[in-house]
Amino acid sequence: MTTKETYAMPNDEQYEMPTEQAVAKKRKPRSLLFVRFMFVFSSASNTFGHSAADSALKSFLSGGVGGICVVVVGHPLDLIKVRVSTLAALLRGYQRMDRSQC
Amino acid sequence: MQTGGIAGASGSVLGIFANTFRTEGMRGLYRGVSAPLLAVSPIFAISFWGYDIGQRLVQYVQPSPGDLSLTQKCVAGGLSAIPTTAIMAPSERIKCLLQTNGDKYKGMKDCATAIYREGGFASLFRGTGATLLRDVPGSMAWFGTYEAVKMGMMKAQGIEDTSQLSPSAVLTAGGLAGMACWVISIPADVLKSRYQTAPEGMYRGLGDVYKKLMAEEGAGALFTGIRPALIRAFPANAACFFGMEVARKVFSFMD
Repeated sequence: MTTKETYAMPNDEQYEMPTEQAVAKKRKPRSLLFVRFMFVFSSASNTFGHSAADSALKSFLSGGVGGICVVVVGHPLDLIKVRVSTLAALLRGYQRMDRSQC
Repeated sequence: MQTGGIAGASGSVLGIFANTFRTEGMRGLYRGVSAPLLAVSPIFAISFWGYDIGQRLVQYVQPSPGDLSLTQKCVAGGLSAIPTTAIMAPSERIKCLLQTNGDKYKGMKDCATAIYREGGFASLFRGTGATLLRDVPGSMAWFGTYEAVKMGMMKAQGIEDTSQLSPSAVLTAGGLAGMACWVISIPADVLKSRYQTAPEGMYRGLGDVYKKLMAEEGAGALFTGIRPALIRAFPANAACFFGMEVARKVFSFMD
């Protein structure tokens, strides 16, 4: 990407203080910040020798698809994992509570 | 509390699975699914995005020509777990409570409001440190293994480009990645699950969970649930990486 950035220093005499309305107009809506952030990184990818195919936004979207696959396939066994690993401790906890109430 | 399936089963994963299906049906097996379905998709999106950004950060800190080394990819993978924790921690809290106390709550929203009413945001985010402790090393192993297996297969098959790998190669790499991840993260996961499902005031902190577990049950208890975790890990993560790679190809129009 070859974007030339030129910075012009404002001349004191010509420089006018922007009105509040003008500032508000310039400000981009907040909701777009995240999307813009991802795009900034994707367009910067060439700088680091990655192909454009590795765009961060693409990773984000395809990762989301992967996430849906995980839940659909993995949830039933996840339920068993959580029940097995918490059961002993919970029973002990309740026993302790019972004892302390005696 | 929800003991269905476990109480009557001999203890084997298959036994518990069959028993849960018999007593609670398909809905029982998918109990608490709404929270992860709502959260896991964005979590994996953030995870893969974080991995992408992490790779760039690593490349930026330690510029090297060509592809990143396996170690660098592991570091990038570890970094990816940091942004995901913000969603992962509360969603795991809700999910684990629903999975173990299903009768007590009407659903995800009910569970979340109940937690919030009882202990505020702090309670909703109970187990955040434990989640990081589980997911930073876990993600290092996850991405690291995936890349390592893929690299190994590419070398063995004389393939230059990742996109040339067959679906079965991607499924295998993904499945093995999931298993490696769980071998590393199961102790922290047990502590996390216990901490997140405990009644208010049962533990003073994660260290307390560890101390009580070691005193009452010994180190072996740190690996409870490893069998269902490992059995789940292969198909779930094979599906994950496969779905991700297919989607990546579909999204190639973005190039």
